[in-house]
Amino acid sequence: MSTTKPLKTLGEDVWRSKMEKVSGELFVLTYGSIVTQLVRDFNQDYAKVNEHLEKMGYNIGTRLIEEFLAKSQMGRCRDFRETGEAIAKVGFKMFLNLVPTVANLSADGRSFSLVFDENPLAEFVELPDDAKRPAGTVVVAPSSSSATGGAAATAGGSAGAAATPLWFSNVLCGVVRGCLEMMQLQVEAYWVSDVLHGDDINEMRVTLIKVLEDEVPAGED
Amino acid sequence: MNSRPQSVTQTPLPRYPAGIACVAIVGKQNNPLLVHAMSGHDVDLKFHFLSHVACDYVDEKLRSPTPPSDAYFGLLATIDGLNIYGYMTNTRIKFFIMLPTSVFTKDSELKSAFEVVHAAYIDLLTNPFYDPDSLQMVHSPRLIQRLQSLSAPPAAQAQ
Repeated sequence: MSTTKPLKTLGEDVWRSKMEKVSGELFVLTYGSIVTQLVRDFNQDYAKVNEHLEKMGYNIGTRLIEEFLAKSQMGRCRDFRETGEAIAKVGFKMFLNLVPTVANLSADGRSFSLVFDENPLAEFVELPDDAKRPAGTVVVAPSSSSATGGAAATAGGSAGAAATPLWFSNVLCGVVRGCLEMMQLQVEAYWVSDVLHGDDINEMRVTLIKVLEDEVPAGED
Repeated sequence: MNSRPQSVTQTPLPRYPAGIACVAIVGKQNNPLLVHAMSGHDVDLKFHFLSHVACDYVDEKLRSPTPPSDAYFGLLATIDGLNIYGYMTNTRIKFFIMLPTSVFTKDSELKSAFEVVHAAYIDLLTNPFYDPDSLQMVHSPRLIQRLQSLSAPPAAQAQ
C-alpha cells in the first residue's frame, strides 16, 4: 500500500517511531576497528579492502531491504531519480539518521550522486598518508578502470601514489547495491570524493546498469 | 580583557600561558610519542633530553611519601631556562609543557592547557588507525594542529 506522504516526512516518522537506537560512538568505533582489521589482514592492499567492504555492504543490503520495506511501507518509485530520493530521504534517514542530497542527475536519468555533508562513520578517523587519494586526481568508475587495466585514476602524478586509495565508508556503496539488486535494479555505486582524502564533501555516484528480469531457475525447462 | 560570554551557561574562556616552548607526550613505558616544539623554537634534541629528565622527576614524585592526588603534577624542574610542568593520566601517559622562565603563569592556566593536550590525545586514540601499543612516535597532523592552538596569542583565545 503506497503512501502519499512526502518522502522526507516518511523518513522522519519511521526514524522516530519504529527504529531501535544504538549508541553512535559504539557503532562508529566498531566499524573503525573492522576497517583497520581488514587493512591489517590484507597487508595494506587497499584495493582488496575496498572490495571486501563493498561485499560486506552488499550482504547487509540484501537483508536490510526487507526491514526497509516493512517499516516504511513504500510503494513503487516511478523513475530512477525517485529511487535516489527514497534512498536518501527514507533509507539513510532510517538507518543512519543521515539525509544525503540527490544531485548531479545525468541527462538520461540513469545515474545520480548522493552528497553527504557529514559522515558519522568517519568521525574520529584520520587516514594514514598512503591510504589517501593524492590531490588533483580524478576518480573513474571501478568498472571502467579495471577494463583499462588499472591505468588508473592518477591523472598526471605518480609520486608513489599509484596504489588505490582506501574508501573508508565503502560498505555504504555495497549496501546501496545490495538493496537495489533485491529491487531488480543492477547498479554500480562508488565514492567520487571523501572528506578523509581532503575533499569538501562525500559524494557517492550511483549508476543504473540494467533492470533485472526474473530468470527461470536452472533445471525448470 | 575577556569579552562577555554570549550565553549565561557558557563558562569563561580558559587562558593558556603565552609562549609555550614545547609540548611533549610520553607513553607508559617512558617512550616518547610526540615532542612538538612550538613555532619560534627550534626543534632540537634539547626537548627530547628534557622530556626524559622530566620522566625521571615524575617517577620520583610517584615514589615520594606524598604522590600527587590528581593528574596535574605541577612544576617538575627548571632546567636551562625552561620550566617543565607535568601531567599524568590514569593510564600512565605523561604530558609535559615547557615554558621559558621569563613567562609568568598560573596553575589554572597550565591545567587548562593540559586539558587541551589530554583532549587532543583522546581524539588520537579514537582514530581506529592509531595503534596505542606501538612504541613509535606519533605522526598525526590533526594532533599537531590541535596543539598549535595552544600557542595562539591571548587576543585570539578570547574569541
